[in-house]
Amino acid sequence: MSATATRQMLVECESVGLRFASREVIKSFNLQVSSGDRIAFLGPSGCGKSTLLNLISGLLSPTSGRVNRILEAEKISFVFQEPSLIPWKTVSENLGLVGDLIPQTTSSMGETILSLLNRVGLADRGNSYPDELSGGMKMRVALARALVNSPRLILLDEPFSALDDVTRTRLQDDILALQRESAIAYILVTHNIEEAVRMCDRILVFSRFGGLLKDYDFSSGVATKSIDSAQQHSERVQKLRDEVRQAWSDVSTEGVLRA
Amino acid sequence: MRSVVVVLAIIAIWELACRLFSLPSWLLPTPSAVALALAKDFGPLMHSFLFTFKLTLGAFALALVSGFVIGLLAHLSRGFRQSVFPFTILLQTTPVVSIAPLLIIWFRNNAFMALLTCAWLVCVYPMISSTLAGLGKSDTNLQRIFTLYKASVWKRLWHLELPSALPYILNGLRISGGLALVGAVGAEFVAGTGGQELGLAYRLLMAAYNQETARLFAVLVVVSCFGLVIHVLLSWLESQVLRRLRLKDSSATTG
Repeated sequence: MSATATRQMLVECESVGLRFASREVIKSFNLQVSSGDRIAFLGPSGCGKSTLLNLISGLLSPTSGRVNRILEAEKISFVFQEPSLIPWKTVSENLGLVGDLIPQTTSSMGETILSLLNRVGLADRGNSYPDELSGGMKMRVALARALVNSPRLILLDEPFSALDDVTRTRLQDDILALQRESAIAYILVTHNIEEAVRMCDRILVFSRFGGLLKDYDFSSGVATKSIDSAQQHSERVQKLRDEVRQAWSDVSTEGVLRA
Repeated sequence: MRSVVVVLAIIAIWELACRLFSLPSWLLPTPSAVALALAKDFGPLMHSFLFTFKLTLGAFALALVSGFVIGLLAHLSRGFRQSVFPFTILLQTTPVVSIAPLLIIWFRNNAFMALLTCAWLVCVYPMISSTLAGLGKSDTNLQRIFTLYKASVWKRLWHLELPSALPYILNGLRISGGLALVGAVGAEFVAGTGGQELGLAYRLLMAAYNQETARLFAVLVVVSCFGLVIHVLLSWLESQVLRRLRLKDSSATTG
C-alpha cells in the first residue's frame, strides 16, 4: 500500500480472519485503506468479498485478528448491487432517511439532498417514487444516498453488475468524478477485470476459497486520477487477465474469472 | 360480471333440475323456495346475523391486536421467540371443539365470552405467523445500512420493518377475517349460546333438526354472503394500502 504523507489512514485490517462454524471464510487478511484510495476486491461469487466489506464496515466482527477503524461508522457508506430504495418513500425522502439515522447530518438536509440530486443529474426527480425511475436512475439515487453523510469511505458491493453498458459507464464516470473532486476512498467488489482496472489503481484478487491470490498496485506511489490512456487500460486488463488465469490454474481448475 | 352470470346459470339449472326430477324439498329445495324462506325468516335471521356479526367482529378485533402484539414480541425478543412463541403453534394444531367444553366451564356465566374465546383461538394464528414472517422480510441491504448507522429498534421498526411487513400482515388479516366467521359459527355449534341470544349456527342446527332444508339453505346464504363481504372488504383494504405504499402483494411471493 502506498500512502503519501497527506493521505490519512481510514481502516486497517490486521491478520483478519472469519470462521462460520467449521468453515474458514476469511484467512489472515491484511489491508490498509487511506483517504483517496481506489481499491478493488476481484474474485468469483462466494469467495468472501462482500463479507470483507462487512468486516471493514464493522457489520461483522472478525473471529481472529482485528480491524482498526480510524473513521467513525457514520463516515462509511454502502452502495449495493440492487438500489435498495424504500418504495413508499420519494427519492428525497430516501435520501433524507440517512439524515434521520445520523442526527448530525440533519442540519440543512434539504439543501444537501437538492445538491446531491443535482450532482447525480436527478434534480427534477426529488418527488418521484422509486418505481417511477429507470434502473440506472435508481442506482444514481442509491449513489446520492451514499453521499448524504459526506462519507470518507464508500463500500461498493457490485453496484454495476445488474446495469446495462451505457448506464454502467455513466455511473462509473459519476463515481470517478466524485473521487477526483474529493479525498473519498472506495472499495469496489467485483468479478469483472475490465471494471476493476477502469475504476481502481489497486486490485486484490481472491481465490474462490477466500484466500488472497494477488495484490496489484498500479498507482506507482502516486494517487492516479484515472486510467491515462486506452492503451494503458488494455495493457493492464491483459496483464491482469493472464496473471489471474495463471494464478487460478495454480489453485483450482474450477471456475474462471470473467473479464 | 362473468361470475354473476355463472351464479345465475347455476341457480337456473338447479331450479330446473329440482322441478324436472321432482326432488323432495327436504333433500334439495328449489332456489325459489330458499328465497321464499329467506324472505319469510328475514327478521329473525337478521337478529341472529347481528349476534354472529358481533361475535365475528369481536374475535377478529381481538385476533388483530393480540396476533400483532405476539408477532411483534416474537420478532423483537429472541427469548420470547424461543420460550413462549412455540406454544402459539398449539393454537393452530389443537381443534377448537376440544377446547370449547373447558371454556364453557370457565365462562359459565358468560356464554358470549366463551364463544368469543373459541372464535379468537381459531383466527389468531394467521395474524401471529404473518406478522412475524413479515417483520423479518425487509430488504437485507437496508438492514445493513440501519445496522451500520446504529439505528434504534424503534427507528428500524418504524422506517423499515413495519411498512415492509404490511403485505404479510394484511394477507394474514384477510385470512383471519375469514377464519373469524368460521370460528364464530363453529364455536356456537359446539358451545351453544347458553339460551341468551341466537346466532346463525343455532338457526342452522334447528333447521337441520326439523328437516327444514329450505330454511337451512336460507341461513347458509346469509353466512356465505357475510363471509364474502368480509373477504371482499379486507381484500379491498389490502389492495388500497399496498397501492398507496407501492408495495407488492405478499401472496405473489409466498403463494
